[in-house]
Amino acid sequence: MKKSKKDNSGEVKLEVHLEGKDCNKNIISLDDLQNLIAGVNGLSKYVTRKKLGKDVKSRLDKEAKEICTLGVKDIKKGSAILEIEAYPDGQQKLNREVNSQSIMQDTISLINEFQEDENKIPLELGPYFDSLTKPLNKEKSNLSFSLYSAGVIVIKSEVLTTTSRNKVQKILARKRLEGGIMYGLLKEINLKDYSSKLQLFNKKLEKFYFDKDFWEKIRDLLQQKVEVRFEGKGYNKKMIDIKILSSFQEKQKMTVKDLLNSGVVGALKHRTDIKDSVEYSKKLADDLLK
Amino acid sequence: MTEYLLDTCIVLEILQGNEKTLLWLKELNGGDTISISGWTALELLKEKRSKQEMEVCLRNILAKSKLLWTKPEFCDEIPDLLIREGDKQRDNNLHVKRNFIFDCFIYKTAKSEGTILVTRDKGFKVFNDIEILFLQDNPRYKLENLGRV
Repeated sequence: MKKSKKDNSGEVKLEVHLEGKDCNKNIISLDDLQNLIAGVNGLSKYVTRKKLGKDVKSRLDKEAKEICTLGVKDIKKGSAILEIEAYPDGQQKLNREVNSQSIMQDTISLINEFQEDENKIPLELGPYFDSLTKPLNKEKSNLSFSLYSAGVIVIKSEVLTTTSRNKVQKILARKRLEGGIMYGLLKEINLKDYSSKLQLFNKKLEKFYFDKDFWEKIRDLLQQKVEVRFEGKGYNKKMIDIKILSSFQEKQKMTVKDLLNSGVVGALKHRTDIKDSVEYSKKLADDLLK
Repeated sequence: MTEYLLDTCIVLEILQGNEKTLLWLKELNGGDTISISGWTALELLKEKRSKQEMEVCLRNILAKSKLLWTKPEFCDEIPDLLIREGDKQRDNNLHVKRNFIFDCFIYKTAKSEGTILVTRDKGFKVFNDIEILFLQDNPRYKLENLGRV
């Protein structure tokens, strides 16, 4: 394994303790190992991106690797401790704020924030916390993290338990909010990657993926005007329903029933900080004209 | 069938799942129509902390309904309104309050569409030629924590 020990903070080691899973027999199962690593890796890359102040993922991956690469160092039998070492691997210039130790430290802080209040966690981190907590599938299983630098403990995480899985479900439920309905002409169906393209009124093509089973439903709709209901956003939109339209009529006003069934009621329930809706709406109007 | 235009504060309360506001909504006839104005949509898009969620909510609303805008001939009346009522709506620097400008647009939207405006903002009480439903004035729907209303 190639290592360049440029980081002055010494060996940075993250210990992952997974307990209550009959670990004496299994050590850590390959499934759990894969999930734990995917979770830690995803969260640490997010922290690196924030620290570097960059949002471009492809560029970030290279830089992040140069600053903080994670590698499994040891898996201890019996107590089921996974040791992950963090080290810089490249020529990226390091500074006091952005180095392996600070990235791993902030990663643990992020895990603690999640444990304290999942509403503070950005939606994009939902899948990483999902992976991280997947091993918590037995009643008494628990997971914790300790960060060591040169053998000295730096920070310890809260203990994640099966209830942490429920928190993840709440984040994922918020994430599922991303999506909506689009109208257009179904121009393409691609069975290689199970995707389709919808031409919107402005001639722009929008790509949607669909499940294999969906093929039956979609195949006769080519070149038809359709309404597509989808989840996700950007390049990851997944079609969850499609129906043919007779015409693109002008939208009507919505009824009370439509509003109650639109999925928006209570969508911002977690925003308990908005105590006075009148004052808050005035603030929004004020911000708009600033 | 009655047509209602929701002020921004009411939309926020619905998104928050406010029980009193939902009680009012559920007591309406299921076929009554609910609209929001384009001005309210613009205000909501300024929300920063829940930006993504707000965009999704607006998209879901727009999938069902068009936005209402002030008709051009009614827009012409707004400068006169700001001069007439603006004196009572000035901030500490003696500027007309920014939110009052939006109140004028929302009021004129309700007027041009002939809808009932639903709000908790007593600032709308200066407009007396449209039907306005002040939920805060009804003990059944009144919110106790609304400080300055």
